Amino acid sequence: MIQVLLPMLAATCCVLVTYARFLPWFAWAIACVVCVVDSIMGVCLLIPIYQDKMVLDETIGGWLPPIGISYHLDALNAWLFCAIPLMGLGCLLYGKTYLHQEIAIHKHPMAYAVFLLCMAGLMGMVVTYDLFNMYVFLEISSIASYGLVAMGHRREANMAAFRYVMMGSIGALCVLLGIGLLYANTGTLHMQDSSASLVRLMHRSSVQMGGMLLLLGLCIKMALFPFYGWLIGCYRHAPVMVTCFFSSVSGMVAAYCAMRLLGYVFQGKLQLGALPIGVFLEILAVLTILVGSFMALYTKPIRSIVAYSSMVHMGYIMLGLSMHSVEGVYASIMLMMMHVLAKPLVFMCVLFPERCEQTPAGLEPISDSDLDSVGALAHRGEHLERSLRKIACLWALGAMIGVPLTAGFIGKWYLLDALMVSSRWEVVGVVAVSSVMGLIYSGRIVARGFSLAPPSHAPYARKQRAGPMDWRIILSILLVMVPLGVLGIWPQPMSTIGRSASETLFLDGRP
Amino acid sequence: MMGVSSSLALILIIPFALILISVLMLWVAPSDRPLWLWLAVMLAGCTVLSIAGLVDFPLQSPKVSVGLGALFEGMSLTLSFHPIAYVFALVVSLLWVVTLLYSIAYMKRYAVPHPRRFFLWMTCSIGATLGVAFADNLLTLFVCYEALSFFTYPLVVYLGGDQAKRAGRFYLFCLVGASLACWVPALVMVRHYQGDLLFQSQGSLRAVPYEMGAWILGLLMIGTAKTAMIPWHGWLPRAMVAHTPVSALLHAVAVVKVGILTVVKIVAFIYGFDYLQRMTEAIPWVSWISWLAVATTVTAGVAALFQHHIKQLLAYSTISQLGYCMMAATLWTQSGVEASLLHMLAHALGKITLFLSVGVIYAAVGSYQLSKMDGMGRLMPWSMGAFAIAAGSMIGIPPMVGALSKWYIITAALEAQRYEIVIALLISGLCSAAYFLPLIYRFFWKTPTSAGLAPSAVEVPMLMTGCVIAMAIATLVVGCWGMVGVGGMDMGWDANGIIRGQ
Repeated sequence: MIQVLLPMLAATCCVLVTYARFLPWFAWAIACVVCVVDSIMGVCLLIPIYQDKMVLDETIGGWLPPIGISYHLDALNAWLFCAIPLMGLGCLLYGKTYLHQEIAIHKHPMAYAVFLLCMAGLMGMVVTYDLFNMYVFLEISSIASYGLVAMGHRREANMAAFRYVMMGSIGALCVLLGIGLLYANTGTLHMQDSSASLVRLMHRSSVQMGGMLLLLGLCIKMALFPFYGWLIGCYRHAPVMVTCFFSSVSGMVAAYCAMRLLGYVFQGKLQLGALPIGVFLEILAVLTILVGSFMALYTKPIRSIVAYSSMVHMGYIMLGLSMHSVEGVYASIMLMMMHVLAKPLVFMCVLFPERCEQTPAGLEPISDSDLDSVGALAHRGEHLERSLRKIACLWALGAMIGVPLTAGFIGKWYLLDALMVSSRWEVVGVVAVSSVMGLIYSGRIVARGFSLAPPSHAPYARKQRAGPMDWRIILSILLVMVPLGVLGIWPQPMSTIGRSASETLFLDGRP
Repeated sequence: MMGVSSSLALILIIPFALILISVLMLWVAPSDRPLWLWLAVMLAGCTVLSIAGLVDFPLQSPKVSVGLGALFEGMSLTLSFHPIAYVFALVVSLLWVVTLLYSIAYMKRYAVPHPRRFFLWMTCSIGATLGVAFADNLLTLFVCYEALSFFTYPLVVYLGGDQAKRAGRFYLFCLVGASLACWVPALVMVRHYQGDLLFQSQGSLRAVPYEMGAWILGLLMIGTAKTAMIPWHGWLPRAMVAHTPVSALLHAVAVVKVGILTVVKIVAFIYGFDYLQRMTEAIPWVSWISWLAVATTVTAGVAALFQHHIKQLLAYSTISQLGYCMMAATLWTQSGVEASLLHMLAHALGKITLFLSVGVIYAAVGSYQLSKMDGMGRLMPWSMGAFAIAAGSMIGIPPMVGALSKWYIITAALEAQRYEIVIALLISGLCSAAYFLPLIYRFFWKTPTSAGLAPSAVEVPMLMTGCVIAMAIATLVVGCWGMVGVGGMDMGWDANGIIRGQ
């Protein structure tokens, strides 16, 4: 798949460009062009896949599946495969201005290179049909992510990156062990083949162990309940561009992998002893939702609030998956699509870089991000940018709460519907309670961001308000906001994608 | 993206289109000059006319799915005509024009900043209210209901300052939180059991087992926080930090009446009376909803006795009167629902008069404290006279319109042999006499304390006083008219009586 190779090659180019000091924007341009090309190619694939039910299979180097690696694009992953470069483009557009204030300029090409590598890894995870190859891409994207987080300019970023490395490595190790156990049992790494042979082997405890290890690894990647600590630090201290990108797609890719593995490879039949895996997932999801909601209520910094809210949303998505029904997966995919757009939009609206100054020791932040965001939406930037940020912020928060006529309402509707179909009434209550909590913490974000009177000790002053309008920021916010708004009031594309994706998992294409 | 079952149905969109034009005009208007405000009032007048023009709209109504198309498969944002919607929309939009006129003078008198923005949100709110009125299914109703909460929020916090912000936060938390937590699951349940969310004249929810029906009903009733029933009653007194025209139009008429209308539509068109009565027989504890209304009526009536702030007093009185509507609606009979609707309109007329005249008093006194208002009736007999008439309507003294609706509620309650409702009505009626009559005594018979008067006392714009008087006359006239032609006031399903102008 050329779309995965392209960012990898471009990453190398970016590194080479490091030595071309006279063209500081060149690496950024390369990254943007790659994202645009990837997005266009992805969008061109969407119509044949969702309208004509086409399935794309490609083998690498002409080696056929049991030996070679094959890539597979169907209704379940095509939309995400297309969304990753699109959101990458949005984040690149958005982040460039801020990167200047966060990273010394001579390191920028490296940052873009790592960013592209991370993107390539995520796209590879989505498109591959080979279990070991998935692990390889998982590592590529993870290692790139560690680097990206560590680029944050505060000292805490290093600590956050370290925690991320520890948890991420444990997760990757679990995934590797799980794949190994499965391979020992089935003798194949191709997903379709292993799915066919796993049907008969599901009673073996080594298969069950392998499945549980895979799931554990992915739970760490998705930051479900006990493993969420790293996520908050990352979102809080990473550079703005990286936070936006991670919040958009990185969790979703892990969720997609869980969906593909549990739903497709294991066909929802994975169990531990006599207990089906759905019960574990449901308990984990409910705990994630509750803990995330509570923590979001008790935390102060805006970035942490949004981070906990993405944790809650991951809980919703897992809840849909745990039921292993067409309706449940449908709801999960609707929620994922909403989340891919809404979460980075919130970050884009409320984030402002901390102001730094050049000291002999490097860039040092001179402000605190918590104070910085107070009144930010009401005071910072040009009038147009400010209004856009306000509208987009309200719209995205509405989508996250599930206000009618936003994309989130539809996702939540189908989640509740799926829960009722399998009559899980107590979980309906949990979702309802967490919606109300969502209303409260979103209200806090609005109250702080829109606060009309900035505290007198806030480190920014009139000086920052002036300055030319940054078209990149406006463009990137529009790029994310327009699809989100359109999907809210005209959800047919979303429901088409969700419908055919859930059917792919359950009805046709079964081995 | 727009489905219309017949070209006639397009007429239904006209009021909404006019409101949209008005909103756009206010949004892009370059300045806060009165010209734009007057234009907005004119557009509001046109809206009223366009609603009034729906009189002869055919009842087997064509429907119109506006703009957005199907939100889910098989569900859409649909508007349709119904006599109840007609009467409600007509009354609300008429009161809206009056309030806008009043607001022009009010804004000028108090130099309220950004009157254009104020008018903008006011207009948006009324658009959402009309949407609730003409909604053809639960989903449309819910969307408009939520929109109303968000549109009124800026008006609640308009004054700025910590108190307003706190009130606004609580307001949104109650209204949106309740509906998100209860309405959304309830809607999904209705669709799950019923297959659609349509309103039908005999009730659409017939196939659902009673137990499940009772749960859904409970969720829907608790989720409708705009009725200000007991767990949610707190938002209404707090919302009184808003400017007086907002309290008058939104928190005495539009918002709370939308709550009652929602309940009525659920009772009549989702459940149907037969279903509800059989359900109550099968599951007796369903009547907790009715008891909640009784409790709210009585406690709010008593609480109003202890208020020293006139807007707070009126807010508690509103909660108590909303309890009447809820009690009548939860009789689960046709006459009960008719009485509830009638009382809703009667209360709207009376309460808006009260609030508007409070605005006039405030202009003179500069305070909302009751103790500062001694003898104001002698200084401004017209406005205070209006206040007295409206207060009479609240207590239920004939020939004011409040007496009529109360009579209907008592009749309906006796018919259904629900004596606790009659008792609650009597207690709350006594309470309202006990807080309004001393007030009138204070206005007209106590000697004014000139120390309490603002220097600009009695310099009240004619427009404000005029609006107040007009509303008081309406209270009287509608009451007398109804008294004379009792029986002509059935605003039933068949659209006889005033709807057809008989």
